[in-house]
Amino acid sequence: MPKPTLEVLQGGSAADSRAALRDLYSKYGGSVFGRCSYLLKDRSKAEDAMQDVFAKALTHLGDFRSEASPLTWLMKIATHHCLNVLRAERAPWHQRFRRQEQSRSEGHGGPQLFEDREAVRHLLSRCDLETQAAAVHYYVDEMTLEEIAGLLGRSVPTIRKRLESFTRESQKEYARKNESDSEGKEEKES
Amino acid sequence: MTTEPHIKEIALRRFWAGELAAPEKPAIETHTAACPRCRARLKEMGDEQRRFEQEISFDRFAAGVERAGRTPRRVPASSRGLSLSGPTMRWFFPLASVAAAVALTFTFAPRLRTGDDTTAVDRALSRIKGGSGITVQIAPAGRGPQRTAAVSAPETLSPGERLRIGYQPGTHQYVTALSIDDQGEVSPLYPEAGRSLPVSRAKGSISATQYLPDSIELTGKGSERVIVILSDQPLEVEAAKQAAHTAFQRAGDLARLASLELPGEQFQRTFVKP
Repeated sequence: MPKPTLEVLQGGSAADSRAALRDLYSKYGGSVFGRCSYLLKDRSKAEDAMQDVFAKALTHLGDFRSEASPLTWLMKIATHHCLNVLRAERAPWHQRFRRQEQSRSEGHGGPQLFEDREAVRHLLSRCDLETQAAAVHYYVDEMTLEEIAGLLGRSVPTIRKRLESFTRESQKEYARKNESDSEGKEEKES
Repeated sequence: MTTEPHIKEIALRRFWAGELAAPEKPAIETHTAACPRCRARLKEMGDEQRRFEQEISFDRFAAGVERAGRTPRRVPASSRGLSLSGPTMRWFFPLASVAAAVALTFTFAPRLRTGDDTTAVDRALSRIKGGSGITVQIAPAGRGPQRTAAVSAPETLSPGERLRIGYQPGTHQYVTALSIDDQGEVSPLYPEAGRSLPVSRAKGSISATQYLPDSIELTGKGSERVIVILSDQPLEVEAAKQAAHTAFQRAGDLARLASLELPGEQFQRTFVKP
């Protein structure tokens, strides 16, 4: 088993701790900040969230099991934290989502829908928190069902069910877009 | 050119971070050598880290993480199945001061209490002018009965207990909440920055309790006072923070802290951290 990259430092000196934090910064800072920016779409909020994530990681090192990947663990915390931030801002986010939907003249979707990470992000607002996390880990991190199940502490069938529900939402969205596009075309033709 | 499936994002990131060993590491090295797409994604990960380091220096990062770990920060609720709680070990990062207080937050819904454990004095003190006041509910770490923080004496908290702040707006329009510990460290709670929050008001009632979102856990040692200001005009959080600093400097310790020099009505509860 590979040695964990992030070790629990108990009662280490300030210098040791600073060195550990620098290691986290150099190895994972970009990834965690990238995840926070992707979900929050605001550099300032993303920086706050990233700080919370690393602070949380440092206070929850007991959760960090020796067999776990520090990166995967941090991405889980970052995803969870940002989805909660978005949920707290639920009303503004939904409003923003609706505005984006209304202002978009051409729908984008179809088989490529899931290849578009922005589409995944937009669809998140329609699902519960656990489904959101599963969708981000599946479609953005490209983790397997087993990996997500292990990460979120759920069974594979549960994760499959969550992702199926996300897929159904995306299909509804695709159908709605098609309908809206067809109506738009008919209006133009008439 | 390779015909193998592309490397998954998380595996590439782990490879980039140096987490992988044999057999994954050499397999990815071989694949990326032959696959322009995966090579480009790997390069993008390096570029992402460089952009991050250009934007946020290590000193700024370290200071921000230290501050986030020290300051009670309001974080939205964890949900079932996604909670980061569980068998955790609190480990206080020595970059922060020994007395650093780390706040981890959860949400609990204040439940209807079956027994009233507040005294008549507490109840009287909690309602002052025009029906305005505050109520701080305390929830235990696990399942169990909640209680209301005492008004007239410091409330001793047990490990893991969480606070949720409720207020009765009365005729006031804005609410601001902050905390100050016995070292004089001031932490804005609601909101964390900007200006006061407009109060929520139940239809037809100015004295119904409205709860601020989420909840906080105060960790660390010593005492900490939660101060809620109900005002008719919005307050700048920075001004409220400064007023708390000034009051602490004048008082010298938390026990002698006077009201903050701010407009509006102030309500406070003091907690002794476990």
